[in-house]
Amino acid sequence: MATTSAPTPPSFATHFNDPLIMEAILSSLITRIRSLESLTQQDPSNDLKNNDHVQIKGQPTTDGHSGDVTPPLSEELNDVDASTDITEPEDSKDVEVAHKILDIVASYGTREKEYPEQPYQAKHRFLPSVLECIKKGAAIKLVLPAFPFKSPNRQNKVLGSLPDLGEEMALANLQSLCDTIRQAYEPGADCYITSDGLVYNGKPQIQAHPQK
Amino acid sequence: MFDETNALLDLLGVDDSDVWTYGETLRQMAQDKKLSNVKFLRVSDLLDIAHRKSGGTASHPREAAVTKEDAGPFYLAHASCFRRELVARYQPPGYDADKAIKDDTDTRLTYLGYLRFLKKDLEHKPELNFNQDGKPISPKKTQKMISVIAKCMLARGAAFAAAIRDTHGDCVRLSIHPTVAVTKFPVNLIPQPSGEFGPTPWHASTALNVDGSFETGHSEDLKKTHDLIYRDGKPYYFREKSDLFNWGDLEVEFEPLYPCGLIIRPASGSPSARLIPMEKVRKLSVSLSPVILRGFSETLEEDVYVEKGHEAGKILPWTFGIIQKVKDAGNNTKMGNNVTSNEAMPMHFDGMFKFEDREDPVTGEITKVQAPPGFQFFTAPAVAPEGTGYTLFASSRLFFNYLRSPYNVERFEKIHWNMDNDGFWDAKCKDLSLVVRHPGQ
Repeated sequence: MATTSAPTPPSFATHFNDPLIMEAILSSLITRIRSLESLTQQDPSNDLKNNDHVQIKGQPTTDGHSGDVTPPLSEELNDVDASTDITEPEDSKDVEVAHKILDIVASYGTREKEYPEQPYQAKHRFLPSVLECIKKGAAIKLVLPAFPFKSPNRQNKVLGSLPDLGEEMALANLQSLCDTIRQAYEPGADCYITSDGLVYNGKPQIQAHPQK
Repeated sequence: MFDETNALLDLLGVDDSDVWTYGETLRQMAQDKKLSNVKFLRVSDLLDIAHRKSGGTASHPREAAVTKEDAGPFYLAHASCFRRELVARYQPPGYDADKAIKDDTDTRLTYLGYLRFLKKDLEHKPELNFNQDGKPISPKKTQKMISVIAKCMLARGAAFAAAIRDTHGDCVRLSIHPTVAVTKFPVNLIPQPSGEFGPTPWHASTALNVDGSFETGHSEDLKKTHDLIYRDGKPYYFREKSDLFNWGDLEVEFEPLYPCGLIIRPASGSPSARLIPMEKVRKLSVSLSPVILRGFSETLEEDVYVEKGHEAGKILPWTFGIIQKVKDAGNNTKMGNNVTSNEAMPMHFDGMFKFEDREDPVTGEITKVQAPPGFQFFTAPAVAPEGTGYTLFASSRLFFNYLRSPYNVERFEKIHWNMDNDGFWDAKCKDLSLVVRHPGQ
């Protein structure tokens, strides 16, 4: 029979106006894929007459990994680097949640890769502060210096001096990041936008150090 | 050198009052859209936090008693003081921009980013194009001036970063600049169709494409392929040119939703739903789902509703008729009804049980093949109370866009699955395709 005893589904209820909860859908689907694929892991060249309910038609793909068999899901989803630099014993569940949260943050941006195999160092740098929040049951704090002011070039670049659809979508996207974190961690997250508008505007009244 | 540097930096900015209004409008936007976890801090707030932390007294009084009406003028009156204090307190002594660019990848990436956008930002500033005698400046000299401005910005940025570290050192640091992600996480504020880092919304104009994607770019480029759309009398965004947005005599406004979807409203009054061009709605919904038509009249007239359905395309009836009327009967069990039954039934979609007989041309064997509908058309008799009545609309375009490598649609298409359910939907289905491609028409 098909995979049974599906867990009570999470409340897949989202008003269509709210940010799409991609991670939740993806996690749930990946869990099912995991069980479907694991049934064929033993024999990559699956005999289609096999009365298994799971059929993966055609050969598994070779994704540049060694060998012909697609690696199990769990290996691919977790980041390779396991060292965490935690000196005191931490609740492993807390650490797991912290990793999930940092993965979510990482998924909202694209990093410049100097070397493709380089581990994602920011995830380790911020692990302690995320763990601190988890231990206190507090919302994760994110800080983003951004949104100074609209570019002065209103002729051929921007549309005016005020926020427009771009800011609307960007802010909604940041809210979605917080919502996605809340899916993994109930107290959720807050994003503090520190506007640096004044910083780049005008000249300081005092002598700054000369550049050269 | 110092005077020239600061004179040049003067070019970059806008009036402090613009900065204030921009910030206030952002806050209002977040409030209107109920983005409750997005919060804002100004330079003055950072300085306040720093003072409280160090237990010192503010060099410049900032009374908490400043009322909301006074906040703007107070801020503007003291803007220079805040700026001065930030730099005095946090500018790393002897900051050498050239060295930082050389030694630190992130600084180099930020500097290159500055060069790129400064060129465009200051394109029209006469000071960068003509010298005091009105003679044109060589591009090389202009480039040098831009480089000086960029380096000055790096120094300011270093001060600001130090302030952030001091007041928010325990926070997860995000950044809108390209970065190697060691000391901060990159955030793509508006993911581009290319998947690359795009210009931020304050450096660009934003466009909605017919395929549902958003992108940012310069208005001079976007206006070639997109129409400029206004909201409340102000230019708001660009929308890809397409006849699908032209409804002739029926004047409507289109509101793009995050992360997908479109609300279409009459520009004035509440014209009858009879006037809606359903073929255009159908085509729009292929990539811009969910499409919500709001503010029209006669939307609950059954004959109008069915007529518009026919206009959209061939209707797939339920076993009992064309219209499925859904009402919450308050039955919380898995035997409730086909919509509100509380049963574990993942990966269900309406029309899932619609099968067609397909005859094999060679063997003559008849097999049942799934024939689900391509579109769903709803009308709502009542608005659910706040906080209830939710429905999930999933965007497969976004889903497959964000599906992490090495998983992709081709790989998922190979998977078939079975279903065995014993709730209201007591049914067994074998060999269902995990992914079905939409005909897209």
